Amino acid sequence: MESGASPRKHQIVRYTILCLGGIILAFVLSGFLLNSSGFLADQALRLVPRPGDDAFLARVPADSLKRHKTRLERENGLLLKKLDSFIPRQPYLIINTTHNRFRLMKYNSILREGDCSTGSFTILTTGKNQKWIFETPRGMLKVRNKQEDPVWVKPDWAFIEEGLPVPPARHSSRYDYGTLGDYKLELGNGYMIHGTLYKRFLGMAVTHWCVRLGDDDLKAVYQCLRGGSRVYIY
Amino acid sequence: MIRKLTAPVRSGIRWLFPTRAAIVVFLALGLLLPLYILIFSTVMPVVTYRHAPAPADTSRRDPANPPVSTETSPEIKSRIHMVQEDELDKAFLQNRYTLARKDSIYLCLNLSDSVLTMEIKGVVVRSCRLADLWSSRRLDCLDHEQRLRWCSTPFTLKSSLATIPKTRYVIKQAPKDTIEAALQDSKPMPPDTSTVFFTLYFNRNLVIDVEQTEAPFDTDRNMIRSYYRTKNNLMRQQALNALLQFTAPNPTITLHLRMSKADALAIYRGIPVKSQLALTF
Repeated sequence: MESGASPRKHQIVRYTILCLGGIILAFVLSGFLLNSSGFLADQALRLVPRPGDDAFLARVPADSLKRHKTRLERENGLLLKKLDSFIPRQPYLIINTTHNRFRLMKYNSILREGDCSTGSFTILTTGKNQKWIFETPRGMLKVRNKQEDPVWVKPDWAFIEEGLPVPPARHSSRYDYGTLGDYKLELGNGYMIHGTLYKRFLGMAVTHWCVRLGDDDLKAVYQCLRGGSRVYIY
Repeated sequence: MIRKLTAPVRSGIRWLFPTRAAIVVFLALGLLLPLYILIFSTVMPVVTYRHAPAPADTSRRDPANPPVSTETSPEIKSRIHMVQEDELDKAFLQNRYTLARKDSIYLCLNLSDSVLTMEIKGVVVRSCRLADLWSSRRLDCLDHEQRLRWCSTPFTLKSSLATIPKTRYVIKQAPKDTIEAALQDSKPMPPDTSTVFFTLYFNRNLVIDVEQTEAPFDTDRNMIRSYYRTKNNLMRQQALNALLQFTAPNPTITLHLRMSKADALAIYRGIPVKSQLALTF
């Protein structure tokens, strides 16, 4: 006589497969639905009727539309004037550090544009936990000072980068003539716009945070900008 | 020989589902969870969707001049439309003014003109013409009052995802001496030519997807796949978190923008981590 274990075993196996199959199906379908929930919800919104203007008319009755429009036009005009006052009336400079391009502007007109060099995004580290990040700052800066035939007073990192010992503060080796080109415009905190000996690197991110321009561009920028002129860097 | 009577041998599907109970168990296990997800993520947002309710205060209404039905007056409709545009303009200009008074770089997105501008202190430093623009259907379901409320203040960037790094830093160890300095590679970093796709996640459920118009390079396909995988994982995680709390996932409004690669790169690299955005329709 056959024992009852075999059919019972079949039942256990059957229900185990059923449960596992159900769970797997649940996970597969759930995964698909989770992935596409945003899309499905978005498509389902086709069923929502387009909104009307009842809420707007409850706030602004139809008989006061004209008065409301007049007031809005006046307010918008004032806001536009306020926004327009932010645009400098004197020439200003826009620097694009992503593509290393500059634009010399006057109000909304472009006076001159061309290539420049900006910060190289290099982080210089030493064994003594010293760190310098060579990145041109973003935002609005102002021209603090202008100078012809500038002399570069080399900071410590200029020596460290070359593997040279750092000289004392007023040592003669700190003074470099000609590297900054014919003109210099100081933007504060050590940031400058100046010329370069390395014309082939214009259009590339190679500087230590200053903005370098070609000779003709630098001359034009130097002549147009004055103390207080704005420089926008992004 | 006695032939024993045994139950007929079933095979395949009939073995697996011998009774109705087995079918019910299988379907219950397999469909309960997907059904729950479907209801909460797709059905409920539609069923519970409500446009902005009209204020209940009717005391201002003059019985002699009842509110004009918009369905019967095209002239009033066009006047309403003009006033609504002015209201949206006012909100946009107000936001731009608020952002111009801060020191940070910010964005202004004008959907009707298809222009995205980057500004600093009220000055447009970059203006990007959008080659293509489309939005999620949720935006069409907003009435004017909801749009106005939604755009009344600038949006703040919470996080972003991109195929390119935000900044390409290079770490350079200071040389010990001039010999070591001479051996160091001093070549400038080449320009970034990678494919630019990025997603900006703002507060108030605004998501902006930006893609370059140029066809991506074949070498960037893995990077793009990884980007989409991460994006889908994020979306799935958010949906799952909401469903675990028995709430519908937050309805995001997604704007898809396509612009030139140069513009996309400049925008992504230019905006700060917590940038703000003024939006108008």
